Amino acid sequence: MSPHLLTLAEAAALIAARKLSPVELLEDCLARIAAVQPRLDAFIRMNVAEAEEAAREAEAEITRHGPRSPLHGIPVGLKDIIDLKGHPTTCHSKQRLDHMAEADAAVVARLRAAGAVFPGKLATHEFAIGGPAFDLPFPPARNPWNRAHHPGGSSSGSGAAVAARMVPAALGTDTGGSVRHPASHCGIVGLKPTYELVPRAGVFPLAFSLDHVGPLTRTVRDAALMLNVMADGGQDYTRGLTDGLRGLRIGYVRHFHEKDQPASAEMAAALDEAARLLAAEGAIVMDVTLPSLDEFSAVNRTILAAESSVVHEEWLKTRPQDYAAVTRRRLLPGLFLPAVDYMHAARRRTQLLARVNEVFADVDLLLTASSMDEAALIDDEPEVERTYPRQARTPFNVTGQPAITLMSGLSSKGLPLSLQLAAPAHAEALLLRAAHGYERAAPWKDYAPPC
Amino acid sequence: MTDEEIAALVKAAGLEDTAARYPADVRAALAQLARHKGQLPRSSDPTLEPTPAYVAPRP
Repeated sequence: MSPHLLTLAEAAALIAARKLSPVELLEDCLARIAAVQPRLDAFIRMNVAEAEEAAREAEAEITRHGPRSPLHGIPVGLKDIIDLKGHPTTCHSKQRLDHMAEADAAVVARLRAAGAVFPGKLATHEFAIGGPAFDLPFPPARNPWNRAHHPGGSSSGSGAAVAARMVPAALGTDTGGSVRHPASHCGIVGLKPTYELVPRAGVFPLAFSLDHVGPLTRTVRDAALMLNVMADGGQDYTRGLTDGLRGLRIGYVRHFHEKDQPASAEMAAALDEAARLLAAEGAIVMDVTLPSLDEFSAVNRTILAAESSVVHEEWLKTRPQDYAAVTRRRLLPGLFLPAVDYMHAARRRTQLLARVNEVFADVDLLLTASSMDEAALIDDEPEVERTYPRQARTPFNVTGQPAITLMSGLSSKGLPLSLQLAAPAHAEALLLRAAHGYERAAPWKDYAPPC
Repeated sequence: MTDEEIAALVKAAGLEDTAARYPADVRAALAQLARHKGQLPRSSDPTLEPTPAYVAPRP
């Protein structure tokens, strides 16, 4: 098997057994990137020489002492709002073309200390909010399942690169679903951990009280291995991963996709099938009711508008021409938002969190839709605008609770369908265990895009 | 919303130059806010306080 096809865990095992060298893995990933990048535009800047040097150092160290961690010698892509020392963090924007990061972001420093290598920076929606757009310094990333379609966003390059086997893992950020959206549309795993479990220092902010950093990987085990390094606390999230679903109480939030924002028939059927499969594996699946998606969306939208406005106020006044039109349109409302609306949203957040925690008194996990639709055509702006907010990811940015998305099927157009599991704050181990149980029982982990 | 009302809001936000260059974007921003305003839940409880998600206690 070509090394670029290996999952992170598979590559790590071969590296630890001295059957695969980090140099060989990196070179094969770089060859894969060269082959598919012209069709997918997942990367916006390569870092080949530095990555090759890091891979050679990893190889020498592993030969002498063994690997520092399962990430030693593993290529990890970085969304280009995350600082990598000595490289620009452009945020995919004209506003930041002359930026230079003086230090690694805290999460990058952790990955580097664990031995990861960084082959390049990945496409994003501008400042993690404006996209897909064609009036930016770099083209938008494409969906590996069909390049005419949107890969999801804002961590669009991260989703495309992992799904297309360019790198085994990537980092994304998630303020209203931006790790889980590309994971959903690209048929991979996207994990948004509990708020502040992964440090945000050195990550360009969108909305500080909603922003999360998370991994995009091909498997749940790989997500756990990434989280082991990225998270505070030194917990081993692979422990108990294979304990299965028996006895877990899973609340199925049907009204999100049946009533609040009716999903496509194929998405809804895939969710019902996932609920059936979870029950067949021993979980106790029951319907539960949360506040409506519209409420979560309104709170998320208002807080995001207010908090992002302080980040972008100066540029919106002095350099509005250096944004993509879609970014400008999405950021401007924040400058007109009354303070009282921000406080209403923040106060309602208290009540929403309390209500979700009440439900978690009766269930261990929640099963919900992620996206209500398959990926839209990337150049069909009305369809992108229509489908973008049709999702059930924002509730867990509002509550700060961990959530993970996985592939749940293929549509008749050959595009990935998806589901989401969510857990109480800091219950990532339980969340990953359930996700792994589903992944093991379902056939989708073996499906790969045709690119 | 009248032109005068828009001009007053633009002035209050300090966005005169931006509004002059991108008047359609400013109008769209204001229209979006007006559209969404009714969707935001508003509690009349004077004692309710914000509790950001990030204070969720660790186990």
